[in-house]
Amino acid sequence: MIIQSLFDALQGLASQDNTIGLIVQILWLAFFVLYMLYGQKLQVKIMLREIESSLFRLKIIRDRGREIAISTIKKMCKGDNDPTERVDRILEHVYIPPVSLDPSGIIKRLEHLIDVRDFRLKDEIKLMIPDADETKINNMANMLEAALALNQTYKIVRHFYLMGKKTSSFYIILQLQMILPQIMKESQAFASALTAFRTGQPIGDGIGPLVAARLMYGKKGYEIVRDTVVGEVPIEGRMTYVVKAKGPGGNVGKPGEAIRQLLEEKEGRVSRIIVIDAAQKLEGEKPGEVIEGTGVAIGGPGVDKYKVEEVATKYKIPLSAILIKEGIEDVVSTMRKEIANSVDEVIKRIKRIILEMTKEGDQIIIAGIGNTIGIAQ
Amino acid sequence: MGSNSNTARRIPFFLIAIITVLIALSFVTILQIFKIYKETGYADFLALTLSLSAIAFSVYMAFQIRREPLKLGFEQPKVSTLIRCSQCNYEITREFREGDYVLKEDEPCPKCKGSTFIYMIFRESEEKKKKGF
Repeated sequence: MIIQSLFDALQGLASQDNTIGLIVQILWLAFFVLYMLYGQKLQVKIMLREIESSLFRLKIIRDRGREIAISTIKKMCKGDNDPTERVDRILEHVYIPPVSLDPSGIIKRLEHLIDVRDFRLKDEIKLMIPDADETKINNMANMLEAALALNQTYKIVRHFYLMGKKTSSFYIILQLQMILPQIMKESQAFASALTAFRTGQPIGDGIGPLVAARLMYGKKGYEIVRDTVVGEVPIEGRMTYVVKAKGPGGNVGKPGEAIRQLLEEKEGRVSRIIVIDAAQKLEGEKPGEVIEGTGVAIGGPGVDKYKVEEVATKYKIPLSAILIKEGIEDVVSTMRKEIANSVDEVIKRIKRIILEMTKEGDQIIIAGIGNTIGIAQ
Repeated sequence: MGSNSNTARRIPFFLIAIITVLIALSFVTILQIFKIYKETGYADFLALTLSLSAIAFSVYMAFQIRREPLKLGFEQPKVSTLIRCSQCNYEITREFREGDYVLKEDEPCPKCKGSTFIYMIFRESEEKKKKGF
């Protein structure tokens, strides 16, 4: 009865006994009903196909990264030592962050764990390349870190893809698909980082150390804490202590500890701390754009930032930040020209801050934060 | 694990099969239209339009498959080393060589024989200038 009336209605809709019109109407109705019933499933299938294609690319990036890491180490180590097994083990290495249920003393525990991880990675490299110098060890450590990040990214995306597929959960797949463009961008950045680390080229993140190196050129310097150097540079009648990670090997040093020690040595007689670092640019902003701010511009897990904030608060020292804007794809890939060219503008701003906010004879700390690969002092 | 390519490309066999079937069907339809037109003088413009659209769509899809493979990020960019004389500020740019680093001493200046050093290492970006915001 219902079917009959539906057909009657359709026939009425179809223009004057037009058979083609009727067929089209039925097809539309069938399409509508099917879309209502299976629309979401179809959407899930389309999204899964898209994720699968990105996952395929991620797998190639991960495999190529691993190959580069193994071949570079193979070239460096003499004899028949095959580093494949060791590299594969490093790529699966996991870092377990400290417990945060009781936050008291978490920074010290975090620092300790980061140090242990860093030492372990460098020891592994020393075992693979026994005659490598400090620069090579640091560069190789950075390269392996990039390969490890690629491996982890691939595995996490694969996990959510398979979980979404298994459960046919629209919301798991949707979330993964939403975040995928950002993940792909970051993975490509790590892929180019691998190339930069292998050859020891300065990366976008090294803009802070590059500014510090320019200021320190030809001046006396010394290693204040592990992997961190300080240069004494007179600027505009003031004595500045320029802090940077020890280069030219890939290394971020311990700027927080260096600043803390400098301030304790000077018993807080420092009129300003100026921190220079790369900052994430927003879409539409130009790479290499220089901006100023207040606070401690140090990224990473937060150990160095905490130390500087703590000691600056203890001695009531004002903090200035100079930031150089860069995209995520520029931070770990070879430094682009626009970013390298921003050094002169940064130095101009440092001088302006010094002239406007300090007096002649004052002591100032200038810290160039970032990875100093390809930048000496 | 294993691929020595810097780019990703996967051959979509299913899509190629669909395109092939679509083109074949469209050609058969066009031939039929012409045959009927010759025999009866009736031109089915709707079928002709649909067939031509299907061919155009298939060709577009085929070109989409043929487009440049996606870059993975391992491509070696053009990296340059800028050397500067510390006395006369004479500058020269050359291609980056492995072992180069900023502030590394280089050969004496060709102008004043003073000491030179690596002033900057950078890559030229490929990004095109965008209009608008």
